[in-house]
Amino acid sequence: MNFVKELKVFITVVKLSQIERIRWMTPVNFVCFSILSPVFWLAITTTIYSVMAGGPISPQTMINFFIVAFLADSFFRSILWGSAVHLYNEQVAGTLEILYVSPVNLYTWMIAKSFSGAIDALTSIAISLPLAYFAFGFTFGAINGLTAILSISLTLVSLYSIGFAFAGIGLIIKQPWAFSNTIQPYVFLLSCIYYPITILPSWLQNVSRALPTYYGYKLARDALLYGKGITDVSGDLLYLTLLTLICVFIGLLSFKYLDRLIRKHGFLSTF
Amino acid sequence: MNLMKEFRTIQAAFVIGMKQRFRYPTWFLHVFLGPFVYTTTTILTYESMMSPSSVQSFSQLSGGITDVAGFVILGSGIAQFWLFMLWGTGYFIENQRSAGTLEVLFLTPTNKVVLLLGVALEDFAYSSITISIMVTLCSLAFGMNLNVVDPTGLLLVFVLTVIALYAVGIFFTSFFVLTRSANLLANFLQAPIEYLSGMDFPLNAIPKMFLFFSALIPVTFGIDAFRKMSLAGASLTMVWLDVLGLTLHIIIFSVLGIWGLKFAEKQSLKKGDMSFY
Repeated sequence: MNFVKELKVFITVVKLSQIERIRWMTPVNFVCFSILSPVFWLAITTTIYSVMAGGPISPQTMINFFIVAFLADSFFRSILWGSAVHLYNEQVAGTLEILYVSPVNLYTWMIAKSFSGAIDALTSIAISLPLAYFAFGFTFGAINGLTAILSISLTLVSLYSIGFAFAGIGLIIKQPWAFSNTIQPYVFLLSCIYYPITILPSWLQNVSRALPTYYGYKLARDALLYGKGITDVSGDLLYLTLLTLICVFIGLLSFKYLDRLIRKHGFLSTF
Repeated sequence: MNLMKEFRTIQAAFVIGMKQRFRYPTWFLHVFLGPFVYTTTTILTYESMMSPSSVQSFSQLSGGITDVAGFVILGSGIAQFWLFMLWGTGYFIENQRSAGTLEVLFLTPTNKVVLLLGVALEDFAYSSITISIMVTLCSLAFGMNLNVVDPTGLLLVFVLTVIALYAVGIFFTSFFVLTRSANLLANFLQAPIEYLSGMDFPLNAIPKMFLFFSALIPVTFGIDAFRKMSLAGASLTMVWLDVLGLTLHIIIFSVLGIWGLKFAEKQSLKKGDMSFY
């Protein structure tokens, strides 16, 4: 493997994806999708908490609890609506077969696309944070930087590995939008973005604990709201590391398998 | 007007729409269980804050309703009708553009409003199935304490809400195709409408300055009246303002929708660029 060549491919793909993103981001689209949309989505849930004021838990506590997870979920959304459809988008544009026969490592291409998706998610978080602060009174608690960096890094690796599997599935079922739409509500339900895990029945709690998103969002809260150190969350970090290894293994293996299947049956450009 | 011909148009639009729905089984899991899972998530969000004093606070804002789960289930039900309308009837002509059949559609000797009635009818039938599944599953899981004293009035409110929704759908279908930004608009409109119409919470909880925008959305009146009549034992006369709002929306959006459709048709025939992006 020629690393310089792979690096060039990586940079080119990231650059192209970002140019496409900037072209799409007209002033109107920026206001609608980067400012108004997140504000309204945040407002819906924060209003629910406010309506239920008067109980033992203050609405602001739950608002902070939710906003950390909502922002962290930007990465998962970039996989669901990005990674899962990258190859399909090439198929629709009629360039998938050209991509396959070009002397480019498809893994490098996918990693670059995922990296570009992560940049988009980070941009979205950077824009949403001040909005959350001014509109909903969101503030970080005692931040533990090391726990935050470690847990977010592990979560990102696990999520973008899953993105590999999603990309292959999207190409095979020819309806990646259906796939993304199907997955999303279950992730909302099980990743405990809106409520603590104790609200779920015990059997569903076990399902939640098998998801990297659950640990990712929980650790993000522990690090950014409650200032917990690595030793305080060592158990969860260990689980997340294990899940990340499993996700990397499953992601790469399933992508390789699906990729072979597609080449073998020759339905790259057919719908 | 040849009634038999118009009926056949409605029938054809209905049958084609249904066949297309069942052509893609990959959507089934999302369409049939997605609304249930979304609604469950919202109910659990409420439950995370549940206590006698928080229910009292909720009841004050919702006009005496104490059944939080029922409140959410009914709101989600009407909201699902809205979403199906937005991506179904509202998106119908845009879909023709994607399929390359938009100009053929405008050239066919059928009344486009009648055609859209067929599309809306199919949309309503399909969404009714999925919403019934959601309401049944959620009621079984969380319970719903119905308190209906005026069933006829409730039925009338439901019929008015559905007609208002599809009047907006007919308006959207021409608006989307004329602006050439259907996907962006349909995606963007979801969150503001969900917030401003009070689909997930009592409308009294939003800042007063937004209520003007809430009044521009027909689903706001439908949800409010439906909840009051189903859960708080209100009669038709007690929700007269909602009924008036729905009736006005039906008139305004029907006129705008029919005019917009005729305008789009004229533009298509005159300029021949309606199929371009």
